[in-house]
Amino acid sequence: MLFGTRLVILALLVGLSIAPARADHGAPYHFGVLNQRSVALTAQYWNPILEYVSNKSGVPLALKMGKTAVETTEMTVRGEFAFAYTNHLFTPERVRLGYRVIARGDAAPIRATIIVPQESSLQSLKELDGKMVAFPSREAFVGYWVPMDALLKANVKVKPSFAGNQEGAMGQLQAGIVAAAAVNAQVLENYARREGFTYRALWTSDGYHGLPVIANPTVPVEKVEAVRKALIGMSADPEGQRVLRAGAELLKLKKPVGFLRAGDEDYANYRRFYQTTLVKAEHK
Amino acid sequence: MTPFARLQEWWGNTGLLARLLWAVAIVFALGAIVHTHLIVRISAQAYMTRHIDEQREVLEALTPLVAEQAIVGDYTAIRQLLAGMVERRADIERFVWRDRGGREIESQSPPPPRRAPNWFAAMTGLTVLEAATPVRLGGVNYGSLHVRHSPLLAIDELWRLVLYQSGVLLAVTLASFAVIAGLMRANLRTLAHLSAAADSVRRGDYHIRIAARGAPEGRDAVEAFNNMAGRIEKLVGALSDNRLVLAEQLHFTEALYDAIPLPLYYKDRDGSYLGVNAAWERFFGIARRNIIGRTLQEIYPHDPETAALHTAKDEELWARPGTQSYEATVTMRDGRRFETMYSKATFTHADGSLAGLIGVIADLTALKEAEIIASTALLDKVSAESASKAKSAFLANMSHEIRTPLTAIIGFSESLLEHGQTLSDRVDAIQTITRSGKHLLGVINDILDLSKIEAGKLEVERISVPLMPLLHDIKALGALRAQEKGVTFRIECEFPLPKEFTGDPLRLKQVLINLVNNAVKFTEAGAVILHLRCDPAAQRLAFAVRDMGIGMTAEQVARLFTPFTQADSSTTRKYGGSGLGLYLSKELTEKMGGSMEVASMPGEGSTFTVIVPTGQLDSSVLVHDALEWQPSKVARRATGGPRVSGRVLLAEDNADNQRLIGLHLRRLGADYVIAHNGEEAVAHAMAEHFDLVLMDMQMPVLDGLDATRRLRAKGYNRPIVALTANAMVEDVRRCEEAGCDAFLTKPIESLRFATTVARYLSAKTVEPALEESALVSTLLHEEPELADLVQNFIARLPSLIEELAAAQAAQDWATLKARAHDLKSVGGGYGFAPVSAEAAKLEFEVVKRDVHGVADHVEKLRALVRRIQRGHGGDTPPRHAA
Repeated sequence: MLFGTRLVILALLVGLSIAPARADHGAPYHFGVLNQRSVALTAQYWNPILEYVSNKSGVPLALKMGKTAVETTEMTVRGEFAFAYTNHLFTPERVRLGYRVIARGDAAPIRATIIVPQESSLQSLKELDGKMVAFPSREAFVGYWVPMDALLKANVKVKPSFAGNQEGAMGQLQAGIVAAAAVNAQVLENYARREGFTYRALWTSDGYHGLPVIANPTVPVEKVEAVRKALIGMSADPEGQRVLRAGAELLKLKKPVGFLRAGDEDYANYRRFYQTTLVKAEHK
Repeated sequence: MTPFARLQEWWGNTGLLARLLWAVAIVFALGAIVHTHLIVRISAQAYMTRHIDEQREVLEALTPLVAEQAIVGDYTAIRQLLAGMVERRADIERFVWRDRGGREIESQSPPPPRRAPNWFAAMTGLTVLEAATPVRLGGVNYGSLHVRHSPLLAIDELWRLVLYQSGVLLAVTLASFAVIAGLMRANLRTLAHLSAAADSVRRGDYHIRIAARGAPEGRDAVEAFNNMAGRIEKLVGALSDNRLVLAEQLHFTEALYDAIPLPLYYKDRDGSYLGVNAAWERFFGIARRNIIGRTLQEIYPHDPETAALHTAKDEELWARPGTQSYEATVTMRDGRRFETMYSKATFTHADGSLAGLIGVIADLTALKEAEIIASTALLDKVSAESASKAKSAFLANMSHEIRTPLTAIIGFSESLLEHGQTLSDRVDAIQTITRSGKHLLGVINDILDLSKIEAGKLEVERISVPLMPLLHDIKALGALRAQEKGVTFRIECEFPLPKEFTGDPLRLKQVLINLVNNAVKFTEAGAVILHLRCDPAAQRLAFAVRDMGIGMTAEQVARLFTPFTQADSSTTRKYGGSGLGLYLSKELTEKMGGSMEVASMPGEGSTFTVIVPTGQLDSSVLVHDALEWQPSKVARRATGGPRVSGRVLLAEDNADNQRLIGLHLRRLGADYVIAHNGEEAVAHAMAEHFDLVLMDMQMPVLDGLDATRRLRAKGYNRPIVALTANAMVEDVRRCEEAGCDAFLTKPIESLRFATTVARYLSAKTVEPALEESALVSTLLHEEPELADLVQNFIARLPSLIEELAAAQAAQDWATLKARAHDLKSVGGGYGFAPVSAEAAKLEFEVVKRDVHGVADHVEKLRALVRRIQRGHGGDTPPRHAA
């Protein structure tokens, strides 16, 4: 806990003292994306969007991320990104970093789900007790916090296996390494459709908005607004639509996912969850 | 020698096994080279393709990994990633990551050791292979990734492959060599056996066989050889038999050809000689080895015409195959000529095509000559038969000719003994007897000359002949006959002419008189001309007797000089004669070294030309015109009949001859004394003076020859003329040897007698020349004392003619016949033979009742009477000086 606090403090200091999102004049603003997929696939999806937004907004953006979600979150916490697409900044201590929501994906609310393969004999959360359950990462909200919280609240103790990202966790499940996997239900659905994976959900959470685009408080407001405007306007702009369709095809999404205007208030349930979750308390 | 030639020679001397091994080695080597090359190229290509694929795959695999590290900025991870790849992939020499900012991260492996030689590396064509790919994600270029492949490993791998394959190939080649050598040696042994066996067969060992071993092909070859050897052995056996038979047949054929006595040859279709027989060789004098294979032109290089003839004949035969015969004259190289007959026939090949021709030459030369001889013999036979017939006809004719005058002589002689004969009858009888006797004498002289000629005993003189007297004699005799016939006879001289020439005067005169008499005989009207010309240079004297008679055809001319014949058998009947005259004349002329020619056309008369040699002619003896002639007394006497004076001793034992010769002497005007034998003659001659002694050769006591010799021995130098019935030249020569000056034959021919005697006695008178147109009684020459009778006859002639004319006008055939017969009977008797002849013709016309013929002959008789009257000076008979 102390280490985490020190990191936050260090990140704040660094973020306040320097402009970590932009190293020097002319350089692009770093846009961090939480590791939900592989770095390469992430880059393939996000680079066209960032290029579009850069062109529309006049704010040069460049993708930057860590090898893992943890690493990326740490980089976010350290203030290395001017903008970030993550929902890991709603814990009470990270809220203080000052990031604010400017937009969110135009998608149904995300839900956490604990699944087993269709042919698995496991029928309830209770039966997961003592078994290995794959999680994308310790930092994953719907991939760890929410399901772990539910398990803990159900008094089921599992052996967590962190796969690094959502699909990694589903991959472990599909490979039989783990008995169940806790993942984002939306990501799961896309994965299962793409990979032909059949599964059965043992538990599913309430809905949470998908990951928001947050802006580093160090980024000028006009830049932030320009970026938010460009993001929100993509769905209405033919070029933006083309980029979104290409991204949807890349990720085999049912439909393109545009961006909607959002604010911190749209993610209040996150903050409440973090405040009450047993996970948090347990890990801390 | 060129390398290729050396290679050919080496290859030619290389054995089958070596050739096979060389071939295998070369094929294997070439195969190895090609195979290696292909393998290397294909493998190199495969390596290249594989490396390219691998590079692409490596880059494809590595790019997202590097991209992720690049996105997250973990260059250390990239370096480790590249180093790991270089380490794992030995064929990858180097990896380079170059980000968009130009920063490079390189990872390179040390170069591997190289084993393959450079040439092999070059042959593979493998080179350093580099590839690069940009690292882009979502449209963002993060940099580029470069990879470099080294070919060394691939080259080394290929080199090892090649070495391995080469080793295998070498081993296979050597193994193949061993196997092939082993197999071939075994089968070559069979070939060697076959070769040795074939050599044995070549040397004539047809019994050799080989054991079949080795491969089936070898065994098949051995079996085939054995079969062949067996067949050859049989064939050779059969061939040997056939050759013997063939040789025998060939020998038989050649012997047969050579046995053929006729030249035989055979040629091929091109005309080249295939063969000839011995007779051919002998005939042409060419050995067969020198003509076989050659052509006809080479036989007749000297006679292209003959060669062309035979060539043309050959071409005819080629054009129409079959047989051919023709006659040809063959001229040999030495100039000998042969009359030949060529008989040719074509012959064919077994397939029926024309192969050549065979020819046989028949030498007809002997046959032709025999034919000529036979023809001549036949002609001779015909001639002999003709001659025999002629002789038979002659004998019959002679018999007639002799019997007729004899009959007349005997008959009239008997009539003279009868009493009561009138003078006219007696004169007529005597004239007939004289004429018949002369005719008989002529016939007998001719026969004697003929017998002399046939006996080869006729000889001629070569003495000096005065031309003028000769001509006078001929003139006298010719004119006499011509007068009798009523035609003209004259002598034409073409000067210069010799006064004298060398010859036989008696024979020449005999010939010319015969010709003149003949000419007169066959001339009914006109003239008979003796034309005389001399060629001093050629020493020839030509006497041409031309008549205007009936002429002759060429056939008649050809028969003219055949004894016992005349131009026509009817001629004998019409004109009389023995048919010996011309034959004798020609023979005599040729005996004198001259020749006789005749030119005649029917109806245009004939010309007989006698050409005699003159001997050496001195220009001094040539006479250039008629004035130079000096008429001699002899000539003058001859012209009108000699009248001489002198005393003659006649030595003659025969009383009849004493009277006859005495008569002739008296007519000539000479006195004579008779000696009855040789002794008397010698005695008289030595005791008295005689101008001439006529010495008969055959006399009792002492013959004429001995008497003459005795006289000459006693120095008697007066002329002695021999009298003999032996008219042979030998007799003449004996007479001359004995010392006679001249020669007279018995019976005595009055004219010749007179001429001869006149030479030695003094002349008394010269008779005037007779007019050619006048007709004088010949009786007066012989019997001058009968002139009155003749004159009376002449006086009666005009009335007789008138009587004939009156009877002719009245067509009183009986009177005509009677008077014609009278004239015919008496005309000749009074010395007017033409009157008798013409009267006989008239009588004949009367018998025929031919009015015109009668009138014609009456006129001719009238003309004759006028000529008689002119000849006798009206009614006055000629008078001779006593």
